[in-house]
Amino acid sequence: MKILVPIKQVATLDEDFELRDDGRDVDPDYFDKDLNEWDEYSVEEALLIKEASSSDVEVIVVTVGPDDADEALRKCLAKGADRAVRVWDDALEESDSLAIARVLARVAEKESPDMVFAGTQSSDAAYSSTGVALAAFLDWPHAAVVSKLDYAVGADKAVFHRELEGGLLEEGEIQCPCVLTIQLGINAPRYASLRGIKQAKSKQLDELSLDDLGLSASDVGAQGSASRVRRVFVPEKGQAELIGGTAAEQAERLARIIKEMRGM
Amino acid sequence: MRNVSAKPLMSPESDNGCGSAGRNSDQPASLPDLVALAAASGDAYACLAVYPAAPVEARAGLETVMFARRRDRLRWAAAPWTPASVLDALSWLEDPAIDRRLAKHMATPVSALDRIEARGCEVMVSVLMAGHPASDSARLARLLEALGPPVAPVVAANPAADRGLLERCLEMNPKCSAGAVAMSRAADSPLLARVWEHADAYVQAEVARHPACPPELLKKAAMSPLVLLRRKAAGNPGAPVAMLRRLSGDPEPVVRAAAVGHPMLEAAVLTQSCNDSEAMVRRRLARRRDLGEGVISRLALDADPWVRRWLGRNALVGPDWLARLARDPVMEVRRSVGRNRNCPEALQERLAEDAAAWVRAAIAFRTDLRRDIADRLAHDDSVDVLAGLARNPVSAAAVLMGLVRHPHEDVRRGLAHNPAAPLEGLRRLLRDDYPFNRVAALGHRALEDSDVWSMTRDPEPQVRFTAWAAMVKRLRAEQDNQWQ
Repeated sequence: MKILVPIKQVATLDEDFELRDDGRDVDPDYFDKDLNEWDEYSVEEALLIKEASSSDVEVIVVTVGPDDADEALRKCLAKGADRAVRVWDDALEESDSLAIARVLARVAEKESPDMVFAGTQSSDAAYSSTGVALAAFLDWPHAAVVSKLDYAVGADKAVFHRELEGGLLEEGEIQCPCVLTIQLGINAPRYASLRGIKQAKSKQLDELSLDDLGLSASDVGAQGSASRVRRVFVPEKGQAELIGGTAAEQAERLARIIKEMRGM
Repeated sequence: MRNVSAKPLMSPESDNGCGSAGRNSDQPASLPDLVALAAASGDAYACLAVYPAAPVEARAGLETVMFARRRDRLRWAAAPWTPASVLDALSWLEDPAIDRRLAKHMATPVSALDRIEARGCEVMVSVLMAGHPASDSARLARLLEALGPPVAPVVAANPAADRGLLERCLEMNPKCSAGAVAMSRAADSPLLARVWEHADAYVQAEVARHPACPPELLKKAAMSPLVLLRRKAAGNPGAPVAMLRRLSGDPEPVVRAAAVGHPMLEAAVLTQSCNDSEAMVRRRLARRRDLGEGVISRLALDADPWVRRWLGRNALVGPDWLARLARDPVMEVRRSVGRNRNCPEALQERLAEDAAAWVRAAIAFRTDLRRDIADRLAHDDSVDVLAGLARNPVSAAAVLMGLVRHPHEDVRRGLAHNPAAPLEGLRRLLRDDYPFNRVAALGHRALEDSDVWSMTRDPEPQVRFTAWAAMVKRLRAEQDNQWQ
């Protein structure tokens, strides 16, 4: 049994930052990179299934990204993933979530997993579309924002909970293989142990190119994408107000604002 | 090998890579060795940690590693743990984005601010420097004259602003500076009187609370029809007793509560306040440190649980009333008794069996706990209780060795804060999965130098930084001891 877990190394922004000269993103000097928070949960969910199973389960993490994304993959290997795959080609620059999903679908076809667990969204781009698009490319059933999963290795169906508006939960059943996008809080992600970190260094990390996946440059990047970022900007100040003065003055002003907003 | 602990608590494990018999072969014997090793390591976090201890001639080598990438330079300029000497070094780089961060950073030293100011900077950076705790009155005066009225409220709010500066701020921007002046410790009575004249009620309220508030203004505030002014007057540390007595009977509960909390108010008034219709007043009363037996006996029977909670924590309360409060139906009241520093042993024993884990946890944290009670609590399944035991020096070494294997990281971390933690347990904590637990353990004095040194190669940057910084501390102490 194989579980494929697509992950992403995301950018976390500093408090103050500057934009790139082309105005389409933040200057990379102003952000750190880390494993996407949602992916911590999807990796953990796969590892819990592996650990609960008496039969062999292989957890494979995959990402689309340049060399430095290896750090995020190694983190997953240190937690207990068995193998990692990184896909990169300069042509992948400017790829939107659809193009990334196309690449991931090719990896899934190559690996033939029984399940795919993706994070519900990435904390930097937040499109929430890669996992769902991946399901579409694979023509597999999918469930998004999964907050609880009941799945036994080898079963042809999984039962899940999804979070809905108003605090409602939806319980559903899905045919396997399927793609699930995993929500925060579904489990308590583990820390990588020191031993795990050491062992991760010797675990397999495959690097694949577009050629390896039978894709061409036109399938990805700006050409293979359905959307592009035109610009990133800080919106003009809206109704934000910096409340000054003494503590009593601030409290009074705050109370007045709340009353105004509530029409009191 | 130097052992910094008072005495070895248990025989150390040998699997920390060095055993207990000697210094690691690569372990530095002196601060210069440590600095050289940090520079050679190529690890920016190592260099940051040793930089404050490095002689001037060694600093360039460290800077080559620390400042290689702009991303790192920006990161160090904002990180709250960056040493002041590194912030000083960053101020030489003449990068406006770094200057902005340095002007915001609370640890930026005067020398760095001087440098930034001398070469000229953005207005925003100057404003940030006007609010910086390292700015002295001379810099504040320069910035005030250079930037004019808009910066006056910022200068007035800086604790370094002296009376002359406060006066100048008022002249330049009276409307926006008045509040900050009224709250400044440097403001004297004549200045506060000037502020009062043209101020609104909020600023007048700050004047009324100020220790240097002129007596006639304080009296005016106490007689004001505005609740806010009366409340602030009741909180003035120099308020006369007669005024406080009158305010303790004020129609407004918030004013009565402020007066009842004033340490100058005499006992007779307190007795009457026991019957105050507002719980807010009685709660304030229950926190006082001079309650008589009569007041205590009435508050112990109060219908409001918060009154009883405050009383349960009050060290003045005797064993009989504590025993009664320890049977209170409200769990938080029983917990308060468990946290009372005078909680008798018998009550500790009873509360250690309480049905509520939060009450038992209060007992588990007590350092005057009897060993047999601690041993019984060691069988508890509450994380709160076990976290208390883990940091309690009363706990037996065997118990602590069990707790350092607990699945919950908060329980395991307790050993890092336990002065009696066994060395073996601390060494296990140094291998904890949770990096913050490794950081916390590194501060323990019972660890040997070789234990700390072994952590300078940890995969987590914050652990390495802490380990290198701990090595600096230890080698510096060793060096100081040799000189004495």
